[in-house]
Amino acid sequence: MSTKKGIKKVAIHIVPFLWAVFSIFPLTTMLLIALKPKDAFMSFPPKYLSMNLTLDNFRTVLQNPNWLKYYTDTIIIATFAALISVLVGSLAAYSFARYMFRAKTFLMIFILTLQMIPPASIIIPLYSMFATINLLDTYIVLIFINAVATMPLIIWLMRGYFATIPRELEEAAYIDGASGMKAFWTVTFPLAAPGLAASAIYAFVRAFNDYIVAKTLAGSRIITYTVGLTTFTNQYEGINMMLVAAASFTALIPIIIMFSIFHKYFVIGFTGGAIKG
Amino acid sequence: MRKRTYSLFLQEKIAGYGFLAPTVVVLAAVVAFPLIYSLIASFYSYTFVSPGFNLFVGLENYINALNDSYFWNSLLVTLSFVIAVVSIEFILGFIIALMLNRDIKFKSIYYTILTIPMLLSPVAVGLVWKMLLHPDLGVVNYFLSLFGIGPINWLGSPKGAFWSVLFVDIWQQISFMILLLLAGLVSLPKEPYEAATIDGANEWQKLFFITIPLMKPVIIVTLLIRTIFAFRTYDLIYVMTRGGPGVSTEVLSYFIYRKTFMGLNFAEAAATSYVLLVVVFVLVFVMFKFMEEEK
Repeated sequence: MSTKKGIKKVAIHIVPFLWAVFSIFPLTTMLLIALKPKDAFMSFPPKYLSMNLTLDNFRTVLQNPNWLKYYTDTIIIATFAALISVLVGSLAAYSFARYMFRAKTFLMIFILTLQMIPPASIIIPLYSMFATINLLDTYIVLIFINAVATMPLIIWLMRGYFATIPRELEEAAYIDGASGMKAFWTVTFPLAAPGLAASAIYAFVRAFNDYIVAKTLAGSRIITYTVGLTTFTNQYEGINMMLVAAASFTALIPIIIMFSIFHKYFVIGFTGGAIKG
Repeated sequence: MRKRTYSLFLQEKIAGYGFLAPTVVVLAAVVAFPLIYSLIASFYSYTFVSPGFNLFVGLENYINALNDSYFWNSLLVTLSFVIAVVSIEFILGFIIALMLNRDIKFKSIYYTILTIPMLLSPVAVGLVWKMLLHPDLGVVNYFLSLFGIGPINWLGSPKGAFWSVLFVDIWQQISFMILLLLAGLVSLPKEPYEAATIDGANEWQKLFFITIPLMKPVIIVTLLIRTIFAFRTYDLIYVMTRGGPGVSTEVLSYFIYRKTFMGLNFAEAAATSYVLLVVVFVLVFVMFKFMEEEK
């Protein structure tokens, strides 16, 4: 009995640990490859374990003037897309959480089904639509589409969050003479801050990582980093693995930095406050 | 008094729709409009060589789409991919979530680590794994060679490529599964477990008779969301295999994209995407029905 218990205890500690190592392994390996000098892969087997490290690859990547443009383009798009998506989406979520009206269930199912549509099946009509109004290859189009793409999940997330905020607080505002809109912006919206932060992070990340929209509807004037990264890789793949590794790794850095600042909000907000890290 | 309640009711209705209006407008513009456009186009001879609604062809595009043997291959690849990733991610994710729900050390570190993969771009993830799986220079084959296992060309063979893509998708998306399941586990009531302990139930009995039945709604929602997302997988396939070798990893969303841009036959691609939509709808509908019955 006691050995059985012992095994169980070990398993409970070791499985999450192994899995965490597995999650981190590709990233650390990538960093290690990116720090290798030029000749590391000239010999076989490759010298994975030699400790001869250099920052040259990162320097080469970051000195490439295009990279700065990829980053600024992507950050501009992701920031505005996240703002719009959260502002508009939370209004809809609030409506679903608080008000009763006939078309409610229908509209909720409608918005959820929109989430099911593969981007590939609407990207062509979108292309011709934005070509007609001359908006291809602009910030506006990428911001707009990325904002809309994240909206359904944000509505779903925020609806649950608003439902946890007691109604009485708004009623107090009504008594003071506030309108529905005003009560929402001054009372409920600030109270939902953790949920809003999680939604904003989610929307930012989705827009930051988008590929298919940025590749189809933009790509010559506006280049996001996913599009830039694939071009860069096609250039160097098989020739200089360390450069590709360094480029891929720099691409992950903004997300990792942002996440390490806000991860508490993300985990709490995403799980409706159920998990407190 | 009566008039007052009535006007409050009306006010509420107006506010309800008012708050929703901006969302409905943008969703209609960006999603509904293109959907209708491509639905109409799917009944016409609409190609990039001659775009326009001049020649009505009825169901011809649908018949052509269904007669395309590559379509059936893609459908099979997509269904095997979706079923495999969702079920493996669910089983593994549930086990890990159950373990993280216990009293273990470094919980917050685990939470942080588990969220990282799902935040990364599938494009970057695909590139990273493609390098790690490189037949000559990849670290995976390097480790295997230490055990005397010969170099495996992971992405070079149809089976290898399919399982590699599957593996990478699991690596990245399992964190989403764990997070949602864990959220459900944490909010389960404590009382049934206490009662069961008094009655002398063991851990397995608690798992099968308390945890799983109570978790059913959360489990179904999680599976639903993950299934919907799995059908949309595109970036990872594009970066890792471009549907290859041959068409062994060509999922439908990639197939449609290729058909549009390389086949240049928009109408037939539109018809194919509607077939895909029907498949997804049917699956989601069945899951919804199942959920309703459970209630």
